[in-house]
Amino acid sequence: MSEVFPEIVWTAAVLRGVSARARAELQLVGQLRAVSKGGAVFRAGDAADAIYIVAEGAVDVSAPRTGSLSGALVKHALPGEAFGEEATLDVGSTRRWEALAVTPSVVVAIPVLMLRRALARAGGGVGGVAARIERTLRRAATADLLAAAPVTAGLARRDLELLVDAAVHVDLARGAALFKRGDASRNVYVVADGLVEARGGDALAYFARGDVIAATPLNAPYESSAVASGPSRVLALRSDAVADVVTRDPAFADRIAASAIDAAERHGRATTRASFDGTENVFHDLYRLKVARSLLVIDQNACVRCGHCAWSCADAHDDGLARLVRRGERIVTTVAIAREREREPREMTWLLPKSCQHCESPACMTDCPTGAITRDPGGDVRIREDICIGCGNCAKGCPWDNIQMAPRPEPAAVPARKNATADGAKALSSDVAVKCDLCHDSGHDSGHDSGHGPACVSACPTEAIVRVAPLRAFPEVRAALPAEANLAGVEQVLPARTSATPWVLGAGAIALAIAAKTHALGATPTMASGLAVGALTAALFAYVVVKRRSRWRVRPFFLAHLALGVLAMGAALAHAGLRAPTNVAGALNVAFWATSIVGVFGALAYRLVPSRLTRIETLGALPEDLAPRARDLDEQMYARLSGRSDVVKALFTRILLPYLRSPLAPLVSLASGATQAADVRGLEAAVSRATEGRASARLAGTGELLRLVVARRAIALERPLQHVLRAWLPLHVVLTVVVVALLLAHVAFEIALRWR
Amino acid sequence: MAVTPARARVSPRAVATSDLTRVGDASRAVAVAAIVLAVGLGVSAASERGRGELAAPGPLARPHALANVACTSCHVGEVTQVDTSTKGVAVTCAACHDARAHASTRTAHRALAAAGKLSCATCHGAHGGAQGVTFAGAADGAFVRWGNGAERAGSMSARPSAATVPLVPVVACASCHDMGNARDPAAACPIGADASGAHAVSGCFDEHRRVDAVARATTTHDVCAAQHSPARFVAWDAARAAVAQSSWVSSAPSTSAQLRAFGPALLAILAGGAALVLAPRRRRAAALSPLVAPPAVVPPARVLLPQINATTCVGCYACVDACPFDVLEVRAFVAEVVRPTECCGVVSCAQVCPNGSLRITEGEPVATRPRLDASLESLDAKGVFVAGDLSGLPLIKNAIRQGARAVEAIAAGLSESARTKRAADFARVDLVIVGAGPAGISAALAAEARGLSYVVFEQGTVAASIKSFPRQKLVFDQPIDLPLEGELWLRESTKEDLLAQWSRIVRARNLRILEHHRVDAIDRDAASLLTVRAVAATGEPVTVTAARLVLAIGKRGSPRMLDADVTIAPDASNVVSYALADARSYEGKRVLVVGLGDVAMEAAIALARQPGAEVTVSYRGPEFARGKARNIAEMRALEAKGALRILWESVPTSIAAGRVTLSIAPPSGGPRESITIANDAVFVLIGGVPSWDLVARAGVRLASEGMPVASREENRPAVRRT
Repeated sequence: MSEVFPEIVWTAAVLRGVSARARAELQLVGQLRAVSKGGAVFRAGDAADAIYIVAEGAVDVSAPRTGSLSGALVKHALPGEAFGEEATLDVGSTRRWEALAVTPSVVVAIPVLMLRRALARAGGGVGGVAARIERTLRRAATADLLAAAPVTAGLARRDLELLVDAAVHVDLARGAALFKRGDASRNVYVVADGLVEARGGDALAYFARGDVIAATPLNAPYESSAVASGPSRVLALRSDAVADVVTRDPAFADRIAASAIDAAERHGRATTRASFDGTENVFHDLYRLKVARSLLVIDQNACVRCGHCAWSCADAHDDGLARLVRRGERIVTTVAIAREREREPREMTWLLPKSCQHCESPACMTDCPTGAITRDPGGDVRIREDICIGCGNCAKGCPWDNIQMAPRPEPAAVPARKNATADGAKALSSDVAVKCDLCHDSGHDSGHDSGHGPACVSACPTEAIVRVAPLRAFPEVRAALPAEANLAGVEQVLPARTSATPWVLGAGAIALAIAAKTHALGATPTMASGLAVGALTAALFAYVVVKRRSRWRVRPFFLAHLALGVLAMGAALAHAGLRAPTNVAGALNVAFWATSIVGVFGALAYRLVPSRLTRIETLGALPEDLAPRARDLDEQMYARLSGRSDVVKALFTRILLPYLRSPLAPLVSLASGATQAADVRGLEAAVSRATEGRASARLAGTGELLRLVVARRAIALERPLQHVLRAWLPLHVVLTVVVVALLLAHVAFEIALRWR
Repeated sequence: MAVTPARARVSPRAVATSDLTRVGDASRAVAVAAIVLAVGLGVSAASERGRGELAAPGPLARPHALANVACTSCHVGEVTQVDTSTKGVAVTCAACHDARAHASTRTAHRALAAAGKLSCATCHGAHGGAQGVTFAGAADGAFVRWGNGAERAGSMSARPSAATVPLVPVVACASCHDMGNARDPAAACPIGADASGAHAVSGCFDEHRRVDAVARATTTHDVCAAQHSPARFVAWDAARAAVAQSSWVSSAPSTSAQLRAFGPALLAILAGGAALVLAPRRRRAAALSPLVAPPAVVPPARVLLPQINATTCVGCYACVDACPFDVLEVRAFVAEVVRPTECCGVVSCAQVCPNGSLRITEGEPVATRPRLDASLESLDAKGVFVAGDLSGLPLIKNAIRQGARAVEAIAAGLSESARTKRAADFARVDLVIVGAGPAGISAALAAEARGLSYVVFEQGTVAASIKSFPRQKLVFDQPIDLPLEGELWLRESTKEDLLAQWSRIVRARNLRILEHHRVDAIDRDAASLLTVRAVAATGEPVTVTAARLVLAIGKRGSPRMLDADVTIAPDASNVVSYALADARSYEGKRVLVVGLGDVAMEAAIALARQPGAEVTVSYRGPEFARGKARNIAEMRALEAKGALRILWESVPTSIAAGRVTLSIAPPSGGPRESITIANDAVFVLIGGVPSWDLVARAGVRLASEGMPVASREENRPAVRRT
């Protein structure tokens, strides 16, 4: 908990007159920081979440030496004075200035969101700070933005001033409309922050920071609607002011028009395939990809659905709860992969599981009433459990359900409701919000440099799960948001997956050689071969321990397990052949081959099933989700069927029901690797054959029905595939335990025999 | 394309997925099977322990066992496989048994032996396979038939001297000889009861040379001397007799015996394993379920209202999201009661407040509350129960609990003798349920579960009230616990989801619900039986006598009809409807919506969104009078876009197929004029008339005596949450 703030802090103009309760709250979330002489309190580019008050020493705030502003001193803050107030303007944005301590100093950092609440509740309104500072800061920010935006950058200083004066800030919530199609255009908009999406008509485009949204020509009604994809801030420039500028600088109008076309083109260029089967292109939720700093994605063609990611996550946390749930939407992107530079970028199907993506501007943080959600200097979003009151606001606020409410690990008995007054910390509720902490809190070696990653990433046996920064990793996102991508940094190249094939084939060759040399089946067991099998078996068994307890990446161990397994089979052939006398040795041999066969089955399933499953799946689903989804689809299907014409009903019973119920056809489409889209086309063809092209009017809208039918049948296929991937593992584990037990007995008896 | 979900009203809770519980249902079965398999393997391994050598392929023959023949006598060094070729015989068997003395008398066998294709072990299995008879030489003719590690005692009248006769299983001969062919010399050898079976033994004991002659000359061993005495022929005869009266001996237990021995142990392990697999799962599931107080059953007696301590409220929205009626709002980061009149008295807001800033205060006594006891029976009319909205406690989950609670009380109060058998004609039943909403269906399910005979009357269709819920999403913070069906978990679902579940349950359980039957009279006879008369839509009356009555009619009442003076042409009777079931079927139609309440507005909005639909709204007032701000804004936007048209201050006067005539006050003022518009369907959504008179007729009195309840205006549509 923070130390008590020096009294001088409360004399700062910003904090003057805050109530005792607000003081207690700010004390709780605020931080006392000592800065050495010349040390930075913040630098340009840092997240602007807090306002600072000097307790001791002095701090200089200055603009960076590069750029339009030439290193000018902005402020010299002495004890009792505040700096960094620009954060109050735009929470979630980044600093443009830097603050350096002139002498060894102590500063107090107060999260702006909490300050806002405290001041608003005190009755004074935000006015105290915001109104005063906002006027100047907003104007500065507006000027900066317009000076930097490509469209307005070339304007004369006087024109720019005119536009700055004419600019009004518009804040939009996620999903809020800026304007609707057909609305009369009164403004030209420049996006200051967030993401605005144009919908309707043919042109579909996304507008990010610095982009211009305008009707063409300027006064015509809008041809599309504009909706905020996420919380956004837009500068509205009055049309008359813009028209005024245009009369002096006709090129300005051309630049505005060009900007709109450019946005549409960017979109067109970056669109990849999107199919109805639940796999979407990046535009399905571009905002999510824009704000995600550390997005967890799972390569669906490599993921064996073992769930070790979630399992290891639960293990990494004391409460035994997973912060990662393998449910979610899927997207298709291309990615660059290390060691594959010369090839075409590979197209990948990713699952976006439910796991915190550590947003650039976290909705959960703005919603938190106690300031329990913070960002660390690296930008990772954290929840302080000691301040969390379990209200669930963040969990409700996260658009992607990445925060969950869970029982507080050590429940503070009944919520201490009486003394909830000023001392918020004592009023611990029975619930607490949990989310991915990138394993920082669990002591898991997840440092970004360690190379092991958080528990989920290191636990993946197939290296299918990675944390990416979409703006750096996905070319489509980079193309759609070039300005943002430039800010985000260099392109992220994903590490190549170590292939299992050479390991397994190599081990297989050695195993065959051993078995052939000893012409295995008839050989008599020797001590040497026995020791070899025993040692290999022990090594194979050790994998269980390693993969559950290891902090290193599991993949190398997994590959070793595969190779050693193949070797062990060869050695076992050399030692005992396929004999099974009725004794311990015989039982051991039977159990060994049983577990080996199950293991080989599992390896083959891991190799062959995921890509097939990916083709027929609609969403990332856990096995237990399939039954409810099947029921849901059934209901949708019949709801869509009710009230339709007899032709549709006849088609349903004659074509669609047989398709649904056919026991063999799913296997055929599995073998052929057909996608759901292909199946739908097949059904459409069957329908048009049956109707011979007539009755098309009455068949209108059956497309959705066909999709439902295909999706429904896919579930029937998904279920056995999921089981194939899952069910062998417990069998393998149990049989392996049996093998180890029998092996110990076998060794003990052999020793006893020899001793006698 | 992009998803723009409304902010959730229920915070997602951490769940234990199968990734954490690890073993799914199918794989759990597999795991149990694997455990059983493991146990089986273990047992097979363990069963070999203690019987001589662990690695032995079977027990030694009795004479060898008695003579304490060690493994190393035959198995030397690393060689575990005994060389049984002729060469090997010299090493192994010949160490004790003279090879020359045991030469075969048969030329063919001798030739085979010389070629190394026939050895001692071919006929006399070293382990397991050997059979034989040993005579004790005692006076009572006792003998031991042995084989395969087991032995069986017997006795006979003959008394041979002490001797052992090995019996060669015919199986050993079968590789060369055709035992079924009578011309084969060996076919005559099998003896005993088992002569033709797999356990036949050979009676041709003359395989080796005439022992009496050889033995005396060569042997020095006592054992050999005893075996190779002149009485050997007597022993052979006795052996044949012994074989005739005894059968094959083996220590291998039968499968059933094995099962008897290991069955209980296997079962115990199986049960233990299953418990082990299931137990942690249950623990974890319990830990994850939210801490929510069980919902109330008895309605509150006083008006309840939340009160917020502004100095401690942190403005977290928990109460705002929990309130089903939008009573609360957060302003300047502090929650405020903004619509006190809408408060329903369900205290979920207080339950979710994280720091106790929100408390519930009690106000005036509730007037329109039927006087009920704890089991929801009317205090004034015995045998009449009230459940659902009508009782004064809103929300679906409460209605469901109340329906079940009332029927439980009825079942407890009706003795077996007072119950009636179920019959097809409904003339006499245990209970009549009026209304097939959540409370009515729950009551019917409970009656079904308790074996009561019942019938449900519903004036409209099943769960008609749910169809008219104005809110898109219903919020359930707990599973709905339905009788018979068990827990139904919907969380945030649309009313269509709930309706689909509802219809499925009614269909699957085959509940006795009479739809389109309106109850119009309730009488009580001398035996305090209730006679309920309902009228079908066709006008046909149905009369039922019942011991108990459950009123689950809700507060919505019956839809208010068009005024009687509106003329409806005979061919247009099916044009007018009082509820909108599915807007999609009105694609491209011209529709008139009468009314401008929330229900009417939402119907109009839904209809206006159908492609090609032409929607006109008729309202008697000059402007929006009530309703949710969101709906009004949406209506204005749609009107501005031209997607629908509102005729202010208008009333329909006549309806015919294809057209409707309305009387309207022109915006410019002046006398009302009459206009006619083309039209395909008319929706009359002008609220409902509550059925207080039915309640009064059942004898139920309200908490407020003498209130003119029958005339009470109650057409606020039910907005609910669970």
